[in-house]
Amino acid sequence: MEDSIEALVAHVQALSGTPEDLTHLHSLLKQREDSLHSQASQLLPFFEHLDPSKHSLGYLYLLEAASSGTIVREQASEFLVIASNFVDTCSAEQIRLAPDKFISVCKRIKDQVILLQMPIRGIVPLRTAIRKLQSSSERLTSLHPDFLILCLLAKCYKAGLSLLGDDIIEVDQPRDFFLYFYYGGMINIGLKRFQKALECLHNAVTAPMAQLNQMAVEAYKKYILVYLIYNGQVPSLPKYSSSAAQRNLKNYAQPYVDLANSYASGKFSELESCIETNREKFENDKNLGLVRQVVSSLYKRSIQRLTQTYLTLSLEDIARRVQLQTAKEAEMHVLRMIQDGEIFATINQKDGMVSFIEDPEQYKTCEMVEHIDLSIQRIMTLSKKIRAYDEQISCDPSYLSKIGKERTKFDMDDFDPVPQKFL
Amino acid sequence: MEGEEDTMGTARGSAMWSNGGGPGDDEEVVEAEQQKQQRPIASGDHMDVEAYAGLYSGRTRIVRLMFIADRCGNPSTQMEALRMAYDEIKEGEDTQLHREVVKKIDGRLGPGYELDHVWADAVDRRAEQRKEKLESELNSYKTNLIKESIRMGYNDFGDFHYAHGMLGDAFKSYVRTRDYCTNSKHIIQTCLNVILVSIEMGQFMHVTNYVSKAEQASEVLEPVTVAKLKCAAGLAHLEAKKYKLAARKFLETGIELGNQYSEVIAAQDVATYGGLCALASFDRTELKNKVIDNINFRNFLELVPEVRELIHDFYASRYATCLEYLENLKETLLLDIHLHDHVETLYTLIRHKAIIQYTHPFISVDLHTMADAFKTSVSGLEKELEALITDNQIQARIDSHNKILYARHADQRNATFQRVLQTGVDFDKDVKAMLLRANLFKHEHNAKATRKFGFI
Amino acid sequence: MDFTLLKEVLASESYGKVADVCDELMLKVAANGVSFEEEWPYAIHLLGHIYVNDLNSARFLWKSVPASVKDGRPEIAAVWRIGQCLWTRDYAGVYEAVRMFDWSGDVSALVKAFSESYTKKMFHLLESAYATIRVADTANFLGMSEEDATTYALQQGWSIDPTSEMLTVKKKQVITEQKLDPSKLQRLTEYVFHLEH
Repeated sequence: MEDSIEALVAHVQALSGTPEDLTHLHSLLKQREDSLHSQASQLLPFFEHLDPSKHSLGYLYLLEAASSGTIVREQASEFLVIASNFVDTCSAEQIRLAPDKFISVCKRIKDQVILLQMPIRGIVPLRTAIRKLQSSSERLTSLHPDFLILCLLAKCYKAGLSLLGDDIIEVDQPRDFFLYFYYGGMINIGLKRFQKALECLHNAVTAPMAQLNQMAVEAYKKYILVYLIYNGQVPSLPKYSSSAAQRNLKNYAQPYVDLANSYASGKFSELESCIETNREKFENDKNLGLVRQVVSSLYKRSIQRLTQTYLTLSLEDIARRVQLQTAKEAEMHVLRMIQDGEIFATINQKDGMVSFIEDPEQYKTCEMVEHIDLSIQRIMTLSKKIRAYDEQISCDPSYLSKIGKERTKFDMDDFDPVPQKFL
Repeated sequence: MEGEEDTMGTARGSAMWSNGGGPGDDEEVVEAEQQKQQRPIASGDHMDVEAYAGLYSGRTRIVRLMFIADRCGNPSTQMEALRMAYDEIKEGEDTQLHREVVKKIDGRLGPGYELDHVWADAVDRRAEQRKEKLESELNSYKTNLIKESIRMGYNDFGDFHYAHGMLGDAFKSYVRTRDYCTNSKHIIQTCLNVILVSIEMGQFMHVTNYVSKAEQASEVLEPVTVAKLKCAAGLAHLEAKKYKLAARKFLETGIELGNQYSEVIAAQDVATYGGLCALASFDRTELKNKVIDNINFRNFLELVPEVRELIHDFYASRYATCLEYLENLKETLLLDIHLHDHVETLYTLIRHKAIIQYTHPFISVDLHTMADAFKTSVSGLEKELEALITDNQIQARIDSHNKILYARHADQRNATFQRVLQTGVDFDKDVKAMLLRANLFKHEHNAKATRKFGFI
Repeated sequence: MDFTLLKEVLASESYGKVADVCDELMLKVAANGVSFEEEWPYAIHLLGHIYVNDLNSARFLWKSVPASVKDGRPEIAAVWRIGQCLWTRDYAGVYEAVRMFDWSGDVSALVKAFSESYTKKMFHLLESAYATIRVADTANFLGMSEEDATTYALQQGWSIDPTSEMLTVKKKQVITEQKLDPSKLQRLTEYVFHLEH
């Protein structure tokens, strides 16, 4: 048996050049798949005979087989070194010939770093792996959620942004989809990028689904909280949401719906008592931190409302109206909001007054023109994309056959007024 | 600021500022001004119960008196109302009401106003006999199958039950007459009876229902019937808090009504209900066209000069006097069996309308002056304005430091830029999410197709 | 571990890049299976985040520092103390946290750079947020003595009312560039073309 592994290694060395060779090699590897798996534990010595950048396809098959069994703790580190190096240096063209094998190796990397409690070790390999695997940055791979969970576990939230900046449009596995957007939501929440977080959670909540899944429910809970923090009110689910979501989501997130209702009252007492009632549930969902942010956002919201109503208002009145103890506290809240660009105002300590002013943006600066320009270009690209997508769909055989079937049905009714049974 | 104060001074001078009104309008305003100087606004702390009761007849008079006794804080008014109710009940045949009023009086009116067993027993005995007689009569009509007699029989039964305070039974009997009506007159009689009982029972769904049945019964209805039906419909809308619709019905009520519907409503009520609902729900043009210039309704308003005055004051922007009239009327209105529940809401609506209307023509308004006009403190006014601005009913902002309200003139250019950019962001987001969902659908469709055909 | 790039960045005082360089280096080192925690320049890394006001990342980094490392190197906690004050908007506390520790070599330079830029930012904030402000508050926000703060403010064109100890802020006129270059016209043509096709 041993020489047959050696023989295979020789094949790999010989047949990793031209595409024709690779096709031939791939079929050889497929034939040997089972026997490789059965010899998983004896494969390790052979890796040094192969160059991961040149013999990527063969290397991948061996690595996948070698990692298919249980990896004992002592070997884990060695496996990680080999696998990380492989991911780093392998040829993207070759590994795309066997994407499932590649994904499975990368998932082993993820499992091992989590097992070793060193999630940070897996971040770079998975990031590289995704880029090599993707045919386009719009395509979601099965490794996307794995990458994000490692970022979350390693507390390297910022690292997660490198992927989250991409617009995902193509999806193979609905499960990947839900996990990716749920984790993506969490990373954006951690970095207080609430608008981006909402986009992610929105996708998870409104996705087509035959029945509710746990990820959609958890996403919905965070969706409510982030909406309250960011916007102050939670919009109802859009019409295109699945009927499962529209009918049932609220029932699974009752404490959160209650929270939104008590938030709408604008009263801290109601909000606090609602939180007290549901504290345990929020805690179990690990959402208590977000719930606290919801509470402090109520001050902001009240102050923002005042800017819509008043040109000037004394700090004392602000304190009273937003339920703060002292004028000094009100001043600090106002200052903080000015600092964060959330309101435009000037504090006058001499009179103890605040003047609220309009957004000074005049939409005249070069930067603004540039920004508008970029927006227009972005939208133009997008509209071209829609057009292309529309054309693609109208040429899609399965779409045509579906439409075709309905069409003929109509046509028969239209041109065949005598029902079949009378003939 | 001085210049602005000046214009406002003139505005408060009122007669100059009846915008949109014709010359006749101005005369009216001036006239009203003079009248006001002659006659101080009556304060309504003591209610003339006897005069009030005189406006109504039948069961509603008693029920209204007892309602006043329940709600009124003034003991002498309360006692007077109960005394009159007691006397009135003794004229009729409702022993249940008798027991009720005696319980309410609780011996406070002396020996003349206790439970009269002899009277009650006699009435009940007679009622029993009468009932038997009516039953046998109705039975014989039924065997003879004479439609008109059966209708009369049920009608008598309805009257009988009604007189004895059994409203549910009365309702059923009246409703039954409908199957035996042979002409539109009968149908209208049926409808009016059902409406009357339904109002007494507070079942306003039936009222609306039977008003429209009556209106459909005949092409030509007597003017007084039309007026009655309008009132009934108005009451139903009022009850449903549809103040605008209620206002329209009362405003359309013909003067032919007179005192001919006293078992339900007085002409004075038409003026009050119609006037207040209109103030609360009409815009300025509607108020002018449908109330102030409405010659027919003017007849009603003459009956309640306070309401007429306050409507004119409102229209002429004399809010202080308007609100004063309203305040004086309030106590009495709270004792009205139909209006009491709506007084607060209507008053709030009217006040908001007044505040909005007051601020509308100005670029800036001094809050002290305005607070005076609305009989409130500056800080109270600030709160009211704050709510209305938040609600987007007033486009203005408050300079709380100098106590001035400034109209807010939106910068169209900036607003447009802002909106365009936001639309772009939303579009971007929505389209991407849509493409993503489309792909999920496609994926699902293909997966299904593979499952379906994969093994063939 | 190869800190060449980080050293270059620090040497050229491009402090805005410190966080990104450290982040990337940390991920790479970790991927190679090196256990880096004991020797990692956490203080510099934290300050890098703080310098660009990315408090979220600073906080996550602080949370990922092993307890043993925190215990062995008090400077890291001292840096995080600055981050905490920024997080809670304890404006005066920031300066105190800066003064409280005897910073080592590279850290000291970075703290100094942060402190200077923070003072500038604070002054800019006061300029935009206040019309009048007490001398004492100004001193607090700028981390200076009352005399120094007053002098500083007067230099920037503010004025003082000595009886009420109140400074009147002079708003900076914002000068904005409004020039358009011909390429914009070209773009406009493209937009119209897009709309018509």
